Amino acid sequence: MNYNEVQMAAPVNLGEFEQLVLLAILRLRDDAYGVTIRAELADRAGRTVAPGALYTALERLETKGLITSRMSDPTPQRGGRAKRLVTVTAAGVEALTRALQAYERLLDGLNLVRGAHA
Amino acid sequence: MRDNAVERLFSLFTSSDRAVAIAGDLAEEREQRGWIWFWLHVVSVACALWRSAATEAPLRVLALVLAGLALLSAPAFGGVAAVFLVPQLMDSPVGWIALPFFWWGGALWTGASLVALAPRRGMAACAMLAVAGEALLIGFGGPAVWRDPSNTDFVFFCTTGLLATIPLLAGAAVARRRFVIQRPLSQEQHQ
Repeated sequence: MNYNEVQMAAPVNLGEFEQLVLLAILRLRDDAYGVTIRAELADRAGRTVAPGALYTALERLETKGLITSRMSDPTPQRGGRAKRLVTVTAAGVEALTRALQAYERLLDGLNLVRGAHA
Repeated sequence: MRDNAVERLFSLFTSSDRAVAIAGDLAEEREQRGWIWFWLHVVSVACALWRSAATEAPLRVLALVLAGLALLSAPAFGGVAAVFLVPQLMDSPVGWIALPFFWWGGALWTGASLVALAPRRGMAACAMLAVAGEALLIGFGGPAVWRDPSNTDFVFFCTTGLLATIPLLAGAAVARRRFVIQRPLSQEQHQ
């Protein structure tokens, strides 16, 4: 999907879990696959994610064109299996940015993050 | 040791390269978390993939389940007819063989047909049909067998019906392996 198609397509609404997964993938850059994404979500977001939930979310995001994947070389510690490395597409970045901007607009003036909700 | 069985299980509900990657991820974590964690998550991931395949297009899967019921009904009635409409067959070894032959053969054919009809969701529909069939048979047949276990004909019908899920799922698995897994991912994604 190129940039013009992204602009023309209807906006993709992301759920909270999908946003977290996309952010984790962006943080991990070239090393984003099932194990590292789950570890990143546990470390940074304090979320223990069931593998099944993550893999179905990744499949859904790929179907929506928000991530792409490629297979790595097989490694011995995985029993000779390849990793499925994922990266966020331009459409994924745009959908995530739109969702985070909506949060920012809603949070504006509430001061919730510092715990001083007036 | 590479668990090909795990990959094969996952590849019933997702593409083969995804199945390999998921099995690899679980194997990587198995070193730290142990075998019990590994097998529990093999089951939970398989259930999640099945649920995802079924709920992505629920109406399509429902239509496939109904198609499966329609396909199953012909051999099911054929089996009953073979046993009950030919009096000579009653209580003879041929009668006892005819019913499983029709029902299990029909189940095998139905499983393969559903996957051939819808390579991406046929397996999910077959699994749903199998679970629903088992639940109905246990729910309705179980109490009746409990009340009157001496009714061997009914026990035989229920047992044959319960075991029909094995050829149903086997037919679907073989067809999926033949029609879907051996094809490239790009072709499968467009099914």
